[in-house]
Amino acid sequence: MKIKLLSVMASVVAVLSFAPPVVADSNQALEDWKAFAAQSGNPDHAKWVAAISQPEAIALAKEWKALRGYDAQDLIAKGNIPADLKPGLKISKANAAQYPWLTDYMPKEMYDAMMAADGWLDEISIVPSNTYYMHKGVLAATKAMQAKGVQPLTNDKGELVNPDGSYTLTNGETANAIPFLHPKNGLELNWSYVAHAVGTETLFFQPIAMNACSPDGTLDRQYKADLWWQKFHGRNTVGVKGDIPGKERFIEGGSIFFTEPYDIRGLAGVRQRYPEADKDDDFKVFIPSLRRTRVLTGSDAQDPLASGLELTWDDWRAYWGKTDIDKIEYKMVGEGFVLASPEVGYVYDSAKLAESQCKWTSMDLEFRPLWILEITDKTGKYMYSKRTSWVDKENYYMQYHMTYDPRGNPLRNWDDSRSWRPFDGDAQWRHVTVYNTVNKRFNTLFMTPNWDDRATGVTDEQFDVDQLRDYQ
Amino acid sequence: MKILHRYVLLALGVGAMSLPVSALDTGIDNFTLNGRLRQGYSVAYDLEGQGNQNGPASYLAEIKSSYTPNRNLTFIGNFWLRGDWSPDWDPLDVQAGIVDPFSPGFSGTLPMTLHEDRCNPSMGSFCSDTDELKTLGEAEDVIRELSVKYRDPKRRYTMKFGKFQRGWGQSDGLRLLDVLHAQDLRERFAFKDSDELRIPALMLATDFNLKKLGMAAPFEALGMRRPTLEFNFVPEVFHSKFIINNPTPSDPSSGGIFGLPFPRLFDPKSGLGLVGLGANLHENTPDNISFKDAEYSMRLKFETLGGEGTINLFYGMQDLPVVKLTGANVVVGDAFNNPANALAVVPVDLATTMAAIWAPVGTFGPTTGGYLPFLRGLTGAGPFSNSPLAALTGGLCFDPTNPLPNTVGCSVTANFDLDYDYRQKMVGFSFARDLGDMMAFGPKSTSPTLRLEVAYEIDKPFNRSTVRNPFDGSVETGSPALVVDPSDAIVESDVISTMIGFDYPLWIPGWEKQQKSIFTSFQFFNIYTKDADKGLLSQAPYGFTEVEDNQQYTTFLWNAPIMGEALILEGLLIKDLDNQGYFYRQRVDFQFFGNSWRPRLEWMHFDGEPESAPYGIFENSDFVEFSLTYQF
Repeated sequence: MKIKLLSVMASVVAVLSFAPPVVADSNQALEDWKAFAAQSGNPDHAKWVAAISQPEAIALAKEWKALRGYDAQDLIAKGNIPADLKPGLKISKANAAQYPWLTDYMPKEMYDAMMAADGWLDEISIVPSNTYYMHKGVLAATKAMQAKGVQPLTNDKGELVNPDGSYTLTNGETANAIPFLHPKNGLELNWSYVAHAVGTETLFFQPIAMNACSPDGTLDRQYKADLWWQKFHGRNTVGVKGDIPGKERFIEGGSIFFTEPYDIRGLAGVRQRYPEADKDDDFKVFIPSLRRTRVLTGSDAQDPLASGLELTWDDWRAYWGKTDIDKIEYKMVGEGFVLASPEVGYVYDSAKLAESQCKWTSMDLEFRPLWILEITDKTGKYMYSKRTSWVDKENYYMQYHMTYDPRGNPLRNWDDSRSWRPFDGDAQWRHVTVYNTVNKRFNTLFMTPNWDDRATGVTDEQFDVDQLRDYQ
Repeated sequence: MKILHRYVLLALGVGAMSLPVSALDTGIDNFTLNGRLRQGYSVAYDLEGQGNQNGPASYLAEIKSSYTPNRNLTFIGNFWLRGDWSPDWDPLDVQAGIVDPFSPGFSGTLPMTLHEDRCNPSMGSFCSDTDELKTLGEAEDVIRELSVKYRDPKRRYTMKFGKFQRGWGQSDGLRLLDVLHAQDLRERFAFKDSDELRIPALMLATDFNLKKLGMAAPFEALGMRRPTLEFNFVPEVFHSKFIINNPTPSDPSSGGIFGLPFPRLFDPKSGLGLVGLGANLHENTPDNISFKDAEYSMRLKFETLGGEGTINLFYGMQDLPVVKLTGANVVVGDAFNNPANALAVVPVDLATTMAAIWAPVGTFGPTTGGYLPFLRGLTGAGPFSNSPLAALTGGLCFDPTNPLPNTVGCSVTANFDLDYDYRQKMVGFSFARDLGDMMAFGPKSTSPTLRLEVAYEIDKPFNRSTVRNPFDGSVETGSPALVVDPSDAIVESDVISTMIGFDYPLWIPGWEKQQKSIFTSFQFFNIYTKDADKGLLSQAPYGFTEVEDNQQYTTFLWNAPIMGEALILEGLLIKDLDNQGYFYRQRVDFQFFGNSWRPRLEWMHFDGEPESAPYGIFENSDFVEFSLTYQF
């Protein structure tokens, strides 16, 4: 995929032609969506407009724009955007040739899938760009950090620390903040991505359904699991406020309990991250066939979660590898735009799956401004020689992610649609696409976020594998 | 009734397989329902004198449901029905029947057939139908879990009550600390997955988060972080279940190729087999549900030294028995221990039995002694003795070695208790940590995980392999060591078992398309038994090898998913370093057929000296099995 760099910013080009002027209690994204929804007549689009029209959503968008100094529309407006790249445009194999700019913005793997005779994507639909922001807790923590004049930095190990030497992501005052709103290099961008974490203080999928397709496009395996993730410090929006007791030494934890199929039902894993660069994650699994807990090493995170899945522990949230500058190089290699799935999963599914469950018949894509982060293995011993992450400039989470095998060949991609709540900025996930270009296996993940029981239902029980084993 | 069970099972199977869904959709929130159906067929190969035969054809139907009405309560029900069709098929012969009186030196054994159709004890053809294995249908076999778990809303403690199982320790393949539950050894002895071996028990398990209870400070002062305390109360006590291939007509039983063989009865001094002797086995067990014989266990779990440690205490009951002679029955009128053909069966108490076995020549007449002196007189290993059977029955019974006219055949069936009513007292600790901060190697710079486990069992009971002749005080070994007064047969000794193991995710150099690491696990076990040099039997009467001072084993497990993880190869090698025995199991799982169908090939191979526990015992139990599982 070729991404147009913004090394030379074009002068302001007309914003999407039908956009009306922005009024005080609105924003450009909202106005664009209103116009688009009116044009499309799609009830899902109307519901989305209603969601982003809520006063809380508008206010939060405004606060975040003020904090960042821009929103997506500002950046898009400065880009040299093709005139025919408009909301409502539908592109498929049949008409793709009419849009020569498409390969500049559409991830190559997705474009190839759409153009192939038996690819996993039939058609894309362009929707208006949204303005995304993180939840109030991150906003408050970032503002507070700025107000106190605290600017995290990276030490000689590449660890993220505060000026007082404490680890930023375990220090309750800074753990919830975005450390670098305007990252100057790859390591800073990486840390802001890491600080975004999963876009919420407590994540709960009940369940996550994982479908793995064979290269011939037939459904091969299906797994179901409940999955949790928690930020352990600086919490102020969901459940326990402040620090999670007993988790002083960890930044965050993720855990999973498989419920289907039967032969792996009860398989449970918990991975918790230390802030120290040279300290492997605390990583344990409960193996039901042994009824026993096994300690795993950090390197076990390179294995798929289950047979046939193109998802490793290090691929959670696209990229959950440990930050370690001795082993990995972090480079910001550019800025640009990409067409990516919109984070509208809280209201509607932005892609439609074929009956075979092994291809998308249609997929909404929106135009996103981003930084390009390259994460390169220096040891030659990691499963990926390189990751490339297109990190959104509004929410510090990736919009597209690509990995490369040890020989440098493209391996797995990752595209997702978050379940993001405009009224409070909290986010989980709705669906993910992972495609392995080597073995041609197509995976989808469908998440059903549990919003209501997170505060009381997600406790340290989910992050202690010896308790989690009795979850169901 | 058992046939009905199996037809019901078949009907359920057909019904379940017609379901189009992965798990049953109950439509009830927080209620899950899953299950599986499995059928296997195996060929037992290289059977001594029989070539290849039908092996176990195990079937299984299982259903599991859970219901979580709120975040503090979880109910789990898990039921299964297991069995084996093969006893209805061609019979297997096992070689270890009772002693053949017509064999030279009584060194041979009469054949035993694991099928009733070939049964004719009066003609020296013994049998037992493998009936018990056809359907494991008792309630305690069927209920795999029936429990309720309560979580304190503040997560300070949890309580789980019901029938279920818990696993302790870090070892695989051999049990050190994993002693909370007895094992079901009937189907594949101990060579199944451990969760299918443990016998669930009615128990109360509680876990206390000491940090949240404000009680962690003393532990943290000792370097034990995040301590949790587990306490288990198990009023329902089971012993391990196994089936003995017992040819004795008064107490026949068979467990198929994984039944424990009838011991070879042999007197080392005379060099003769113990002709005319059978065995009735009776179990002496603790109270099934009681406070008196209940099991209590506790485990303190904590983080330390970069890993996770536990300290374990167990006060329970023994899973495996010691053997005690309690008396005998004289079967008058049948030389093959068959009471159905007897003129009379005369019970004899322990004291009389002892005398009848051991009394020196001259006790029952000038030239007549007990059974063992009689045998020894036949080979010059002692003074000549007339048959004690003939003497004690006034000449009614003939000498089995020298039948006379106008006498009848007689035999003696010794009565043994398999005594489980001994406390098992154990302390131990385990520790596991990844060594990522110390070492990393291999193509992907992966690190091993260290596992350690130590169990110290106090006063473990053993049958002696060496006893004193109750009359002349001379040293006796072999089978005679079992037919002594229980007070002389049993000794208690401390046992310290240690395991050190390493797990390593292996990436093969040069294999560029390797998608998943090969899980490898190496373990070394040393089992030290105090006073082992005084002669202890590893597991009387089936494991006639003596316990070594330091008995050592190694195990190696590997698991390699290949072909997009659709083909999973798993091998397990267990080697007995002292008795030169080994066990190898190879599994091949085919996951090419979606979510529901799980075909598997499994090969088990045993090699070891006869009566060398456990691998020599099963030297005739090698098999290759194909099984098909449907899960939903």
